[in-house]
Parts: sequence; structure tokens; C-alpha cells
Amino acid sequence: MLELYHHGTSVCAAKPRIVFAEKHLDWVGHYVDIIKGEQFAPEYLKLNPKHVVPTLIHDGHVIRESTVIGEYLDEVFPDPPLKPATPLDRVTMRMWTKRLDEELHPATGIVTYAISHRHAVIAQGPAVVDRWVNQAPPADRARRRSRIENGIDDPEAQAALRVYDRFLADMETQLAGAPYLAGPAFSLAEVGVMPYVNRLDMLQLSGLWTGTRPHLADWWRRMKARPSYEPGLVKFLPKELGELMRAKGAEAWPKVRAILNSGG
Amino acid sequence: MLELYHAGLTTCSKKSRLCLKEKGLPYQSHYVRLDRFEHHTPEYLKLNPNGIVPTLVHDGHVVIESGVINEYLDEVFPERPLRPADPLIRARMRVFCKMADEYALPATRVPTWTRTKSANLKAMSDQDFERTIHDTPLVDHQLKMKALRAEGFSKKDFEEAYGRMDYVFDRCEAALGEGPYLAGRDYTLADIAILPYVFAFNLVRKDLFESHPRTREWYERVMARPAVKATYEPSGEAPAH
Repeated sequence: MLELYHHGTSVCAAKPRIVFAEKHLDWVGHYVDIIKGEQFAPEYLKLNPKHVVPTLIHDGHVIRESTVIGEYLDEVFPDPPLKPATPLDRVTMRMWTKRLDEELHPATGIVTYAISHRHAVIAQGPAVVDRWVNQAPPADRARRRSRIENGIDDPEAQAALRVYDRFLADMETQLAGAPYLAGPAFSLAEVGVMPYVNRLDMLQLSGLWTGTRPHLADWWRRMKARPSYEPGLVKFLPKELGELMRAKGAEAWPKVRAILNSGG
Repeated sequence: MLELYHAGLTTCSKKSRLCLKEKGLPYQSHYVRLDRFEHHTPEYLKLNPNGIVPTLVHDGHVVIESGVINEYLDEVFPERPLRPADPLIRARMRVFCKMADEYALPATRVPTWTRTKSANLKAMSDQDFERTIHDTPLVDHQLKMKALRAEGFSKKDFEEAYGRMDYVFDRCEAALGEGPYLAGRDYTLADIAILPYVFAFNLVRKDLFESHPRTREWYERVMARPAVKATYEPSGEAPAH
């Protein structure tokens, strides 16, 4: 039996859901509400000491880390394969998934917070904002306050936005020469990247590719048409969070465009 | 033909050499002098746009990133396998490989760069330093080099690095309760990924082996392997300078 501990907005938790759908695997979900802090519950910490989602349980065995889970599921359920057929294409696939984990993942958290999620904290009043700032160690508080007050004007948020933009530029280059990120077929590179592009789409930032990055735009159209898109990326998203991201993202777009056009 | 561009002292270069030697694969060694910034030359950047070592060239195909290189080598040359056959144990192996890249590597840079790069960066003229920064592709490396030239890494940087070292040793100690090697019964890419960091951390944190006896035993066990000895001994391919 396959069991997944997951949440609707987590980019990493979406990856195994996409794999399940691509491979037509039945699974049982355990929803961990990370907005309410359920990932810190003692029972969950036993499964996942880093208190993050997802966690996969396969016949009682615990597997953590979405990238590792993806490779695992493909080895145990090889049909249809989600790893490219040649070792060199598998290198390309792993370069994408590695870059997601080490470079894009931290940037995504910063960008999402700067554009959208900080507003959910601000809406609860100055006392909640202060509490949120003071949760950080003293040396980090000024930076944390800047992040909540300045949003996308914060230098750290702008740097994260540039990381994202470079990533999209590299996707465009790759997709100009091949239909998929790791060569001729859909692979775990797509599974990994889809939630991050979807995040930008949810934040109404699709202007980062529409009209300017045609191969990426075409790739994303094809990804959204796959049967794995809805169960992977739409079905579990909390409605109010989706609405917040849409509203605040649309507001932020002119500024995002101006920041990226200014270079730097 | 296999060619490896590497620098003897770096943890990531050691990872790929450990894998090549363990599998008994002959390769042509290209030693890259980091102190002369040979990794920032236009010729090298064509192979490795990030300007870091190692880089593997296999029959003309370029593969970068030590963890990716090692999985590639094990796929293309399956003799003397370094990945477990069981997917579950392989997942355990990959968690350690990820930990090496995401936790251990950033931790080792703080003491290691202080020791190996700081004096060199401080001795440069402003003009040379500006050019060096300009030639450094990774923004993260630019920031660290600027910090080293100014006042060095902060107390907070060291605290964070030491915390990461504790974490890596704790994870090793827990895993080694189950098997002689990090992923269990067999010596795998997990051991290869972690060994250079345990070696490097031990240079600055003698306390860690005392509080992590199983990790110390594991270290002694793996250091006795011929391939590991050959990687760590100063030799023509990796001079100690």
C-alpha cells in the first residue's frame, strides 16, 4: 500500500501526486495542514524529523525527500518509465532535480511569501506581525521585518526573483532543442519542475513566459493538458490560499516585471 | 575514454575520484589549480559553466556535479556496483547523497575557505580582486569571497556551519546503528559522498568522533579501503601544495 503525507500548497508534496497519476497508482492520503502547524505534531515528527511534507509510506517503509521518492517510485513501479532511457539524459534529468532542490526551492519560498503569504500575517494585525518577527533569533529580526514589510521591494526577494527568472531562461534554452526537459520524453525532471512553474502561474506571473519564452509556454500548455495536472496540482489546493495568491500576485505583477527589466 | 578535471583538495573532487578508483576505472587526470583560478578560464568554463570542480568528460560527453557524476559512472559501468539493488536501500543511499550536497558542503566551506582562500584573496590588489569576482560564475561564491576579503566569515556563519556538522554526524551515527555502512550492508555512493566531509569536519572538530563512536569506527573502516587510501595519499594526480 502507498500512503502519502502531503499538503495542497507544498511544491514538494505535489511531486509524488503527479507520479501517482502518471503511473496510475492507487494511494491513500494523509493531509498534513502545514498552515495550522500539523507538521510539528509528535506523531508526524517520528516519520519526518525535518517536519516537512511529503513523506511516503510504502508497505510500512518510510521514504522521505520528494526527489528521492520520485526515483524510488520509478524503480519500484517502472511502467510507464519516468527516467530517461539513456544515462546521459538521466544526467540531464538529475541536473534539473538537483537544481530545484538546491537553488529554486529556497527562492520559491521567498517569492511566494513576499508576494502573497505575508499578507495573511499582516491581515491578523500588528501584534501578530511582531510575534512573527520575534520568533526569529535576534540577529535575523531586522531582515525578517524587512521581508514582511517590504515584500517584493526587499533585496532578498528581488534576488530570489532573479534566480527564478534565470531558471526559466535555462528552461527556454533547453526546450528550444528538445520537447521535454531531459530529452525526448516526459520524465522526473517535468514532475519536479511542474509545481514550481505552477506556483508562478498561480501567482499570476505567467507573463514571465507568455510572448517572451515560446518553448516554455508551449511546454507548460502541454503539462497542463496532462491528466496528472489536476490531481497533482489543483485538487488539493486550499481555496482561500489560491484566491490570496491570485489577488496578490496580480497586484505584484507590474512591479515584478519592472524589477526583472531593470537587470541588476 | 574517461577524463576527470579535479582539484585534489576539494571534497567534491574526492567524491568522484573515490568512485572511479573504487570501480577500478582508468581515467586521465587533469589537475585544476584553484589557487591560480584555472577553474575560471574560458576553456574550463566551456566544460563547466559554474566554474567549479570536478568535471567528467566521457568520450566527449561532459558530466558535472560530483553526485550526478557518480550515479552516471555506476550506471554506465555497472561492474563493482556502488548502488544497492534494493530500491528501498537505494533511497536511503540517495538521502545521504543529498545531505552531502545540501548540508555538508555548505558547512565545510566556512572553515576550509578560511584556511585555503582567505590569505590569497586578502593579498590581492583591488583591481585583481574585482576581476576575480567578475570571473566567478556563482553568485553565492562571489558573496563568500567578498566576505573573506573583508572581515572573514562571521561568528554566525561558523555557528551555522558547526550546527550542520553536528547534524551530519548525528545522522551518520543513527544510520550506522543498523549496518557497517551508511546505507546498510554494503559500501555505496552514500559512504563515498559523506566520507570527504567527515574527513574535513574532523580537521576542525576533534570532539565529533568522541561523541559519535560508530561514525569513528566507520571512518577507520572506510579509510582502510585501497581506493580510499589511493585517493587521500598525495600523488602525482593530486599534489599536496
